[in-house]
Amino acid sequence: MSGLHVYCVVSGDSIPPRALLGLGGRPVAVWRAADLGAWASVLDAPPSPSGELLRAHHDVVLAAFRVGSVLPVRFGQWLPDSTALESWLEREKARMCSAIEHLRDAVEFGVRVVGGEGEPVDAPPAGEAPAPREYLRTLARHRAAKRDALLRRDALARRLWSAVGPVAREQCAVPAGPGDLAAVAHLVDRAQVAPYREAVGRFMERQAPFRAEITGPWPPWSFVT
Amino acid sequence: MAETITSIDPAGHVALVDLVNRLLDRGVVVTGSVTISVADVDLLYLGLRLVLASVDRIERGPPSHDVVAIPSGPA
Repeated sequence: MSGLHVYCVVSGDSIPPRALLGLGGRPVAVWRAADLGAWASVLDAPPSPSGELLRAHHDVVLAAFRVGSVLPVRFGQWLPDSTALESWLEREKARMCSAIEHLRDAVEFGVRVVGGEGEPVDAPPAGEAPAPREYLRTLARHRAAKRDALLRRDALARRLWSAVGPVAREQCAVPAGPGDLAAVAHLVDRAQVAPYREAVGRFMERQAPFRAEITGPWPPWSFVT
Repeated sequence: MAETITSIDPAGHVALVDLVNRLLDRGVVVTGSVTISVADVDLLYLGLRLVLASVDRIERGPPSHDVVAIPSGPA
């Protein structure tokens, strides 16, 4: 069952580099409709996610991102043929064109604030079975601690946004790991990358002993819905 | 400065967890549906297209039997 694995949607005339290979080493081509282009590869079957394939998918999106505004497409999007792909572009033209304009000349950075003791687990500690009343009290303490951790995370994210807002377009929450005190993504103008990094650095100087782990610049994955 | 800058280099060296968080959870979706299956038996039809897999599973490569989710849409 061959079909098209879609990597991203672009505007204008950008085309994949000739040497660019996608999943499984397949060539990447562009299908055009409605003033949009979709970069995709013909595959024999829908791919299952693996580290290697995720990196291959991301490499194609990065290649498009280097030459212009791009809408990253989630891994695993599959269309049976070029007719379906072109119909999809026609159907979603307005929404996609608006999103591409919104994301033009912008990059994404991920920020995780770490260095704390991590969130409490939502379960009482292991060991001998406590009495029922003590078990419920322990459970309530753990849940309260987890709720407090979420509130602290939101508050920290708001303070971070106050610090970087003047040099960033948007902030959104991203999935947080168990040790993350905050986890957000920022949409930043390409021209504002240096001031943005400085703003994050200044903010983190006031958060010692915590530190920020910043990744990017990414294509704007977290700002496409 | 209490800050660590981790950039994505041209060779694409980036933590798998960051890729998973973005590529499987963010980005444009083609259709608004998904069928979650185990061993080719459809179990659940959801209103959003999803791919469910743990980082550990993805690091080890495609599963052989205990498939949790199928990235293709409904037939």
